[in-house]
Amino acid sequence: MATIIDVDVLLDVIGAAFLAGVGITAIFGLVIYGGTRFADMRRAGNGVGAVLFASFAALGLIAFGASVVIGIIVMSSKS
Amino acid sequence: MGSDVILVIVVATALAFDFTNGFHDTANAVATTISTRALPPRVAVGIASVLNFAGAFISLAVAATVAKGIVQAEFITTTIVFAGLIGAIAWNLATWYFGLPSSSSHALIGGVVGAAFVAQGSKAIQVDGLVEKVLVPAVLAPILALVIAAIAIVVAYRIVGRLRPGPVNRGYRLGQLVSGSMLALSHGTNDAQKTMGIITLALVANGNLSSEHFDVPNWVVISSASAIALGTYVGGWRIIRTMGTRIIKMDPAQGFVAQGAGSATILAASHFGYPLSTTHVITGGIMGAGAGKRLSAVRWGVAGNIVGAWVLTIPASATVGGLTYGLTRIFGTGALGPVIVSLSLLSLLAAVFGRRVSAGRTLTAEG
Repeated sequence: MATIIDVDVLLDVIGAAFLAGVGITAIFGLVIYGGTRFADMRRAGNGVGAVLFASFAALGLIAFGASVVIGIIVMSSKS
Repeated sequence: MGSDVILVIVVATALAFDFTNGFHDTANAVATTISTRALPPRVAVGIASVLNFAGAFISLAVAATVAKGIVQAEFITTTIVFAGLIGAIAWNLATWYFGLPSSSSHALIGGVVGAAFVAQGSKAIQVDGLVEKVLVPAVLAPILALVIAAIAIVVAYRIVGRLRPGPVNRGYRLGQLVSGSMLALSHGTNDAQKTMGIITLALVANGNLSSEHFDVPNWVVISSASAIALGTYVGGWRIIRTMGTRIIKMDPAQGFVAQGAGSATILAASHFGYPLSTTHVITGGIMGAGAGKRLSAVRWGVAGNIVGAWVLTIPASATVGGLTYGLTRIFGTGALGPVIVSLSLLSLLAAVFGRRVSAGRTLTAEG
């Protein structure tokens, strides 16, 4: 059985899937956290806090967008 | 003349399979989106349909043979491919009828394996390939997706759990538009490719294309993309209901996790050349997103029925594929067998469809 299954590839797949699956959820969670806290801060008149959380959300959004681009690259480079 | 007739039948059957593949797998991309009300049902399937069509053009690296590495390529004939397609279509229709998500790719592989086994015996089957490329991923995909989604939903609740639910739900619904779109695009690049591969293989086998140097003809690309997109737009509503509402009652965060973590898992595995079934991953992801919140949130009875269907996919489609091949051979090796089998199946479908229409319902009614 060990000769049929390439254990190294299997472990790579499991590791990468964990990283990508949990990572994308965490990144998008941070976008929502930053966006919601930004709205709360702005409503409370806390300009500095609002800017900080807006930047936080923007960074998360850039990371999320980058992962979407990487996903499309993976799709288009299938052999 | 006879081989041209078989070629036409194989092309038509391949496009019919592509159509069933589209409507059977619509649920993967839209079930959670519809369930969490991120999009209205018709808009969701419309977007999924367009992205499936577009996905078919993204990558044209067509597999040279059907069930490559699983069935000995030299034994594959157009009649075996035809019988395999019938096995896959039959399984797709049966599982759609019972509202059970199952892998169309595994159904196709099962159909071809069954037909090749009846035609050539066990020497036609590469058991190692079957274990490595089908059975191991079939076990790995749902378990991996379930565990990842269960961890991911805990992470998501930790991050956003203390925030006001309104903006959080709106945010996750927006996220689902992206994750659902990625799934639909990915489905187009994977599954329309299979039909292109089958038709191209049939054209090569029939001498219409050189086996040395060939490009996939444009009409093959466009017709395969159109068939899967049309199938997606028709929508397999029974399966959408099962995945969207019957496994767990999901909130937008769970919907995003099932889709987002699911598509990330599929693409991460693709990067290592290890294709996982979209259906298995998304279904496992939905179960994980429910179980991560509370184990009892998952209707394990429904989950058990789905797993039962997965276990039966290859044996059942192989049986139908093998029987179909045997039936065609009763009429000799020419075109008569496939013609009679096709006409019989079309008559059967017309009778079933006609009875449903006269009863006032359509085969894929939304309600």
